[in-house]
Amino acid sequence: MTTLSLLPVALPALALGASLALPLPAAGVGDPLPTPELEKFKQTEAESFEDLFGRVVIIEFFEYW
Amino acid sequence: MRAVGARGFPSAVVVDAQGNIAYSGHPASINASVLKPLLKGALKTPMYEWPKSCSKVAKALRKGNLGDAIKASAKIEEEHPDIAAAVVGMADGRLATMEKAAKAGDWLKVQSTGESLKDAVKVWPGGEKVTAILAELKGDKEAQAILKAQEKVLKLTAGEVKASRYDKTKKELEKIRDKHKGTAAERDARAAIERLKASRSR
Repeated sequence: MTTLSLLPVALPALALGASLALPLPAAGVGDPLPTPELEKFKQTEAESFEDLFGRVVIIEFFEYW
Repeated sequence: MRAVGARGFPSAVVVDAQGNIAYSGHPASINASVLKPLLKGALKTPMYEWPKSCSKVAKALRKGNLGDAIKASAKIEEEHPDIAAAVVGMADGRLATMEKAAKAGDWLKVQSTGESLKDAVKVWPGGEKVTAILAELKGDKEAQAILKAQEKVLKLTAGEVKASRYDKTKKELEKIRDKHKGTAAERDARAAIERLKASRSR
């Protein structure tokens, strides 16, 4: 009985607290590259994306499976 | 990844020497015809290998201060014309983006690009054009209204939207979309509504 009576109270509370994460508007061809949040650089002496100033850079998104 | 509109694996973007996205798509399609035109004017030496005489330019660029970078690059112009040209080229590229945005009536982009050039305005020839475009924006009531609407779209959909505010946010975006037909504000509002809908269906 206790559980059932709590349910109608608990559900709206959860719904009110929930948030919808919206992706940022995507930058397209011709737009400035949004500042990348990169953590580690390998096989290079670059320490930040700014170190690649004036260079042509390819950023590839891939995954292993 | 989403910030550049990449939706699946593998995806790739190519960034040109001015820091703009030159290609976005499947990495297998990146070939010589994509890269060759971009390499013209690109620096051969990465910043971390620049000579000591260019350290002030590098320091300013790492801080994101284009104005200081331009000032410092004027002193190394004779010795390292390629680096000096690349620094000015970045400011010129941003000005081109700003001019294109002003022509298209995308006043939010005009304002944000102008902001990124504010340090450079007094030390670079393109500065006068930047000032003129910003003055045009300031003096144009219609442009101001569009800018305000674009800013509101951004504010309404920045980061997270509480589920309880979904309907209200959608209505406000629809109001902007309908009020500013044929403008960049309508385009932004339409895109934001789509993103809002997609976030709910995930």
